[in-house]
Amino acid sequence: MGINNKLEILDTLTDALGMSEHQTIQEIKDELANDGIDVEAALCRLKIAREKISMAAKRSVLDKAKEKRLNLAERSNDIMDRFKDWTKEQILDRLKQVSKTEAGFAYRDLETMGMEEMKALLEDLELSKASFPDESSNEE
Amino acid sequence: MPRYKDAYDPSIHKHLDKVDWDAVLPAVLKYARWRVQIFHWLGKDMDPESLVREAFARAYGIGTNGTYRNWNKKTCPDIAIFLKGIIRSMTSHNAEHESEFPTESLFYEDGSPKDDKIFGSSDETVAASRPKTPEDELIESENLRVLMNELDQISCEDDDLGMVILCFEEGISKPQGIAAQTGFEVNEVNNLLKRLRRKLKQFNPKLQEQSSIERREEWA
Repeated sequence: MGINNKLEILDTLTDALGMSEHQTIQEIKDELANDGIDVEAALCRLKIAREKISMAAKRSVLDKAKEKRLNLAERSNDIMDRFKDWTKEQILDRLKQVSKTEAGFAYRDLETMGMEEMKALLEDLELSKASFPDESSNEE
Repeated sequence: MPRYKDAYDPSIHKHLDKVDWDAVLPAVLKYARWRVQIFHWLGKDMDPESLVREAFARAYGIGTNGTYRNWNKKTCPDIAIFLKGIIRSMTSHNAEHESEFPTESLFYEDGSPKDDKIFGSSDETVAASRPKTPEDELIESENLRVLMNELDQISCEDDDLGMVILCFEEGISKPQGIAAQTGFEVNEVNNLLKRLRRKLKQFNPKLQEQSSIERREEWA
């Protein structure tokens, strides 16, 4: 029998020995105490550990949200600056390019808009693109 | 600061916080205690509590190397089973424990991380896991051989336990499965498992560190 087969048997064996579905909480605690574990102290440590991990996880969520917000603010400043000196033609071209994926976008309305209105629309579209980047970049 | 990956769903936190941990933890600790036994049998020391802490961290999305597990309450309503699954994957012989789970826990007993940097990149974490020396490998395979002999010996001395051990060789671990295979009642299987636990507690492997000390003493 190869080492891998032997280790597989150990996996199955310890799965079986670690089962407790048929036991009450007190029976499990008694068994652990029989094995030399200070059960109440161990459970107390684990509960405190879980609370700290929970807090660290929540801080991590807040940090990530903050980081995203700052990134977005930075990007929106860049976007505002970018169109400052653009001509009407440049803005129209970019609007048509960016709005390709926007359902229900009415190209004919663009011609009737003023420069400032067009710039504002383009900024909104670019910001929305920046806020919801392509999901394909997600990793596991 | 620990970081969670984008694919982790942080809304799980509130479900985890609502769990009745007093009811769940003893079973999870017992499972970790027996999974750690594999390492003990092979000659290494590992703390079951550190496994449970790492399982918590993964469930909360901030495990070692950025590892995480999304708890789906619909498909796995029992959090104890979910955490045992994490512990199993960390300690399974063909899973990631050798390469990714450090032998030494990354958390203090109270759950605070030992080194914030360790969560930053996998490269930094790899250093926490000591590679096996040829001597470690040798002791491991010797301990494994002795343990297999011990199981054979138990099988020879006790026919009923022999049938249960045969089930393990077939990959059957659940009492119901063992009962179906052997014809025992489920409660008889549970009693046999209890008997096996008692017998295996007497098995004392050669510890890897102890062996190094012995070797150094021989050389001195």
